[in-house]
Parts: sequence; C-alpha cells; structure tokens
Amino acid sequence: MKHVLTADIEIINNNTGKIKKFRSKSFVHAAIFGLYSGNNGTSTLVDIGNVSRSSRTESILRCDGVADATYGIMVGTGVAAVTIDDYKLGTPIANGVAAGNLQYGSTTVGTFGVAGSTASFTITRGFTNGSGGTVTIQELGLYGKDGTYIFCFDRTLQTYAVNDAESITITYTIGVTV
Amino acid sequence: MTKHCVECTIFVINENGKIEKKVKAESYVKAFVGFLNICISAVGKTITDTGNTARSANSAMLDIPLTAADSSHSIQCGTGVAAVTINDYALGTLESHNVAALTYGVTTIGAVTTDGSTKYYDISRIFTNNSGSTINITEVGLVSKNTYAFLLDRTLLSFSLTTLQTKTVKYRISISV
Repeated sequence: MKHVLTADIEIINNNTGKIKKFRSKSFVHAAIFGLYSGNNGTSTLVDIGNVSRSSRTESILRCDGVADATYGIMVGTGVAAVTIDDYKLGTPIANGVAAGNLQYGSTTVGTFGVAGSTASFTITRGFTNGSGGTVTIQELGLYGKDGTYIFCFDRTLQTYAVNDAESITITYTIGVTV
Repeated sequence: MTKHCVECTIFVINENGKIEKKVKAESYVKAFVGFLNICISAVGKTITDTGNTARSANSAMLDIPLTAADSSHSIQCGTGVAAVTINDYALGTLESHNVAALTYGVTTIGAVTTDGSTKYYDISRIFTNNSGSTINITEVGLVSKNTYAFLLDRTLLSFSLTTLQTKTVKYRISISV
C-alpha cells in the first residue's frame, strides 16, 4: 500500500493512564489552502466566523499557540458529519470552569524527525475539567491562526468523556511513511 | 480503508490531452513533512536541500517557481530507478533541462477546486523531447525553491517521449472527506 500524509490522534487520560487512538477523518477546507503552493502570496478562504479572508498561504496552518484557547487543538460537542467545507467545529467547548467548560492548556508543536521509514511530528494540548461535572467531547480539530484570522483545517468526530477533576492530553501525529 | 489527510496523484498527459498514466505518488518525503512542521509551528527548521546540504528553511521556501527552461525546481523528470526512501533529497538521476534534449516548459498552478467532497489543486509542467531520439523517464519529483531547492515528493513513474513529442506531468494535491 502506498502511504501519503496521515494524521493520527491520541487522547491520554492523565489520571488513569488510559489511551485512545484513532485516525483523523480528514483535513478540511483550509488545509488545502495551507498547502497551496500557488506561488506564494495570498489565498482567499473562509475563517471560523464564515467570513472570507485573504491570508498568506503559509500562515494558515499556524497553531502553535501559547495558552491561547482560540486556536491550536480545539474540542467541541458538535455531532454533525464532517464535510469538506467545514470551517469550524460544530459547537466548540469554551475555555473555563463553568458547567460544560474545559480549561485549555498550551498547544505545542514538536520538531519533525525520522524514525525508520516515517517522518513525523506532533501537536499536543492538555485539557483539564474543572467544571464540577463530566464534559463529553464529541469532536476535535485543528485551528490555525495567521496572526489575525483563524481557520479550521481539521475536524474529526470522536466521543470522549472527561470526568470532573480529570485532565487529558490530545496529540496529533502528522507524518509520512514510505 | 485507511484514511488519508492529503493525497497526491500524478498524471502523464500526451500532446493530444489524453491521460496516459495516472498513479498515486509513492510518497512525499522528509522535506515535505519538515515544511508542514514549519508552517504549523511558525518556526524555521533545518532541512536538507537537493544538493544534500542542510539549510535553515522557512515557509517561503515552499514556493514552487513557474519559470521555464530551469530544471532546478517545480516538477522534475529523471532516470533513477532506486526505491524511494523517506530520506530522499533529490531525484536519483535528474534529466536536466537542455534545449537539445529534454526541454522543461513553464509550470502552471491551478486554483483550488471543489469536486464533491474533495478539494484539490494541480501543478503542471510541459516537457518536450528535442533530442532526436526517444527519452525514457523513470522517476518524477516535486521540488520547491526559494533561494534553496527542496525535494517534496519522489515517485517512480515510467513513460517515454519520442522525438519532438510533448507531454505534461501533473501533480494533483487533494484532500477528501
């Protein structure tokens, strides 16, 4: 089988040590613009507010946010099927400690490396539930920020319950295997 | 079925517009992942260029130049046959631009297009055989360049150009849900 670019996702429960692994359903919408080698300059695409924006193509995928809950790895409660034109999560979970909220940590992007016949790197974010009740994630995704506007380039459906006072770490591993 | 984020399909199209070959790219190679890492992290990284020299790379170096008569960038053709590895940084044996042999035309990059649940764009380049005899191609590659050149994909793909024949090699980069 020939391999192309893949995105594998792992959720670790930091309290129980349990790990859930799955593969991203797909990059959506903004991903193709972020990869657009259109020499360069700008592309016009819809941001998470469904407003058409002009952005430098190489900036669309940036998601290395320092404790910024507006982009990077995001989680939500939307359950609608993923479509290629999705421009945001269905219902993002707010950052905070109110009912239904999760506290967002920083998104970090590791450097890339080669192991065997695979080249890959990781994108990681921690979430803590201080809401007083269970919060059930139904979708997760990647938001990139070009400095001003935010674009969704992955949306994946996955159900995962985070109990009160628990924390989880979500890791995307993006890579190519020859 | 394995789900993929980004696929790459290569077409060889003859002078009559007929698709002669359509293959899934063998793979992106290490530098492509490196540039994706740069774009996502917004931090420059060291990536090996097509001359096997480690370079401090930034996202601007992911550019695909469009100029003709230059085989140092964009879509390349070669005659190497070694298996693709993740660490490949150049074609095995580049068939360089030569007005009396294989002539490299301009590169065109299409707009992002939607087809059902797929979005894609195409990168195309025309090649002409001015050598007076048949040229047999066994590998193709996709190379970005801005100051330095970097191999993003290398795929073993065989096709021939007879004397004065023109063919187009097209990379289609796509995502599907």
